[in-house]
Amino acid sequence: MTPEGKARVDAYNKLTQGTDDSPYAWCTGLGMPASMMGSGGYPMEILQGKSQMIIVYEAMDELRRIYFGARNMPMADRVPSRNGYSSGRWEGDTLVVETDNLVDQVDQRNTAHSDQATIVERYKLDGTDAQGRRILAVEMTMTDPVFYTSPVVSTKRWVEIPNGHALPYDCPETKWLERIEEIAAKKGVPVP
Amino acid sequence: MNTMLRRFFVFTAASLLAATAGAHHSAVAFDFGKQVKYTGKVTAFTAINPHMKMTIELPNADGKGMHEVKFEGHSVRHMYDGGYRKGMVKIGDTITVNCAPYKNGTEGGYVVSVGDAKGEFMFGMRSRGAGDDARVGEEVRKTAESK
Repeated sequence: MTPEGKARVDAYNKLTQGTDDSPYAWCTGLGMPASMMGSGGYPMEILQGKSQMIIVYEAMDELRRIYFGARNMPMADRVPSRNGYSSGRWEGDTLVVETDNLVDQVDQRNTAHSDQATIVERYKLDGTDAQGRRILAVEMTMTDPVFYTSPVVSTKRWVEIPNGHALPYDCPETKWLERIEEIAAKKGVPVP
Repeated sequence: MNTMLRRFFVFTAASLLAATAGAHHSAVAFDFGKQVKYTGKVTAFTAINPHMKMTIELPNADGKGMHEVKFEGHSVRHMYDGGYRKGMVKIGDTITVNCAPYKNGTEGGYVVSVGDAKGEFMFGMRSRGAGDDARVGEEVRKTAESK
């Protein structure tokens, strides 16, 4: 990491040390690349269209839109976010996804980055497992001159769940129900 | 907008080592090296994310009256993968909760598995149908501590 990146991560860790606070604890999506690299064992669902691909990570109901060709937004119209803006293209049987417009995320556990980070993912089907299920492999390269002195490269593999279903997550529901209980307690009435 | 979706796929991580996630909250409060069983009547039960919640009623130590003990556990995904289905636990049911206890001695803990009044396995966390609490507990510990 760069001295600046290390200082910011150290400061963040010091700030949150000894607390249970994290993006997850507050039902905030992990953001790229953590949303893709670390979904906590939860599945992801890929909806594949001609000009747009949607990836839903079950954990936190995180959603990414990957645009192709003319469907892409002009750079000036792209809205920065935790998962950034992703555009895709096919290089033979490899799906290449480039992500920009990420917001600063010093709160990512293993992949903290600045708002200057860009990410390239290269996806490819990579054979089958012992049960004949297809394996999807990705190589992720994150470049961030503010936090890292060289590109961060990681790989990950998924196995297909035939006829699988992503479940609803609705993370904020717990805190909403707790809030309703709190309001009811303050007013001395039962929760309706 | 092109909303025509041609194909869909669901994938899950091939390796949990590659799937460590940020924490819902820390699991350090629990001792996953131990397992404690409580049997009591359910007064609250919610299959909810990011952590399921459950409260059971236990008799006071002096034998007079009852008190409530709270538990939490993994997410809905882990419950359903562990054999839970809607309606399996109802308010008023007597159940046995097998949990990793709090390190500080507080009653309650992190749910490893749930059984009926006799302790017969009902559901665990992830391992569908698994009756081997030691193995399920180890899986729960690994998942909780990876967060």
